[in-house]
Amino acid sequence: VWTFTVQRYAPKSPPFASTGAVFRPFVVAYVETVNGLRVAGIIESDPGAVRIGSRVELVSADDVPRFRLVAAEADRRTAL
Amino acid sequence: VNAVDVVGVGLSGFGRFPGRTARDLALDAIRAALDDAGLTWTDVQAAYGGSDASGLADTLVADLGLTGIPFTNVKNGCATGGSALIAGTNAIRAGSSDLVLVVGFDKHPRGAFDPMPADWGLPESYGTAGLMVTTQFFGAKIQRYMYDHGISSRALALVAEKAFHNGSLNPTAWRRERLSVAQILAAELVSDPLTKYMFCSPGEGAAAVVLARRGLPANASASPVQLRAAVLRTRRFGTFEVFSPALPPGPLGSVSQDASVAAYELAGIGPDEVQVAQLQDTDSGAELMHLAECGFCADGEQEKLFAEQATWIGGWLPVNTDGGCLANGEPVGASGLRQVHEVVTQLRGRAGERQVPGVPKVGFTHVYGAPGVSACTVLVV
Repeated sequence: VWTFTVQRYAPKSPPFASTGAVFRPFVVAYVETVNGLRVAGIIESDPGAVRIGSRVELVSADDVPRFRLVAAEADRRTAL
Repeated sequence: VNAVDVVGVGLSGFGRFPGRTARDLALDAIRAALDDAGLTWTDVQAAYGGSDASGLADTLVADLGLTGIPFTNVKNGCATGGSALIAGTNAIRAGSSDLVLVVGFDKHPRGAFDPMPADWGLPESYGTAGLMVTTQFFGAKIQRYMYDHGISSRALALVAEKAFHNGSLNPTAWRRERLSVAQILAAELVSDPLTKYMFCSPGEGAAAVVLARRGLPANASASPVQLRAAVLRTRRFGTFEVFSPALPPGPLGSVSQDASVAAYELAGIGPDEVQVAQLQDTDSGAELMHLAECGFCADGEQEKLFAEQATWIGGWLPVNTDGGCLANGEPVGASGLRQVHEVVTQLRGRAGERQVPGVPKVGFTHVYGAPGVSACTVLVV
């Protein structure tokens, strides 16, 4: 994770396609790949667990790139 | 090439004005600017202006008078006011007009902007997924900057504390209640690490500027301020901007740096000579980073500046003396010209309670906006 923020409020619809009655904050990040490219996307993990430098893996790219913390990272954060 | 002076400036109120249209606010600002210059609408030889979301400036002739002058609509996002100012300046420099009116205005609904992806050359999925939100960029950019340069959350709060303090001294500001650092830090997060008091809000307002060829009789009575430079730049490859789907490898450039360097060169004046500045403060992180991007300090030096209160009205580089976007809100079309209004007011020594001591001689303004545009001016008395 090169940098990130948390979308704390529901974006206006349209353009946002709300997925339910209760909005859940989500992490928006730029993820740096091994070749240095930084890609904007969403990290589908607990916002409190994400840090600059966290390792993530791509889980889908159907709409926008979507990532999650790699398991070891998530465990380490939980342990902390 | 003719030299250009600002001979009049005017503002409407900034905030929320139920029942008044953005055009009403624009007329308030224009009449104030013409009164300030000691001129009337019939003296104006050309006009440039616009809004981002509130209609066409040239329709204002219905209220101002059908004098037949060329009136050009300008729409250039956050640089709408700056672009109109540059167009007006060039008309005088080229000799096609001697006296030009420039106006910017807007009236935005409550809440964040809701841009549509197609208008920005992005896939629909960016909108449906929830990535067409400007506040995300500002949060993500300052988050990395804090990591790279050792900036604290408290520094972000200090910027907002100053903004609301200055707003409390400004009779036309929207937010005029002072807030403590503790209140600002404890407020709800909007886009981490920025709380709601660290963000400006889209709002309502208008600003107008009257420009004249230097040496005209009109200048004599109007306390002119020299417009030494007005410059617009768009992003180059490898900059980090609002709605960037990806960033290339390597160090990142800055469109604000490009625009400010060009403005300093044109003016023949460096950032070390600037005595009062207006820097885009969409959020407190933006003001903090723009201090470095516009050449006023090194990256990371902001903590030291803030500890010295260097950017307060009594400091060595007062920034956003009218409260900036944080205290005035952001009517997009008006913001750049509000900045010029404030610096001109400071250079004339007419800023009342918020006047910079000793009356500054050199001022600077800077706007930044999506999708990577910046406009800067250098003003001198």
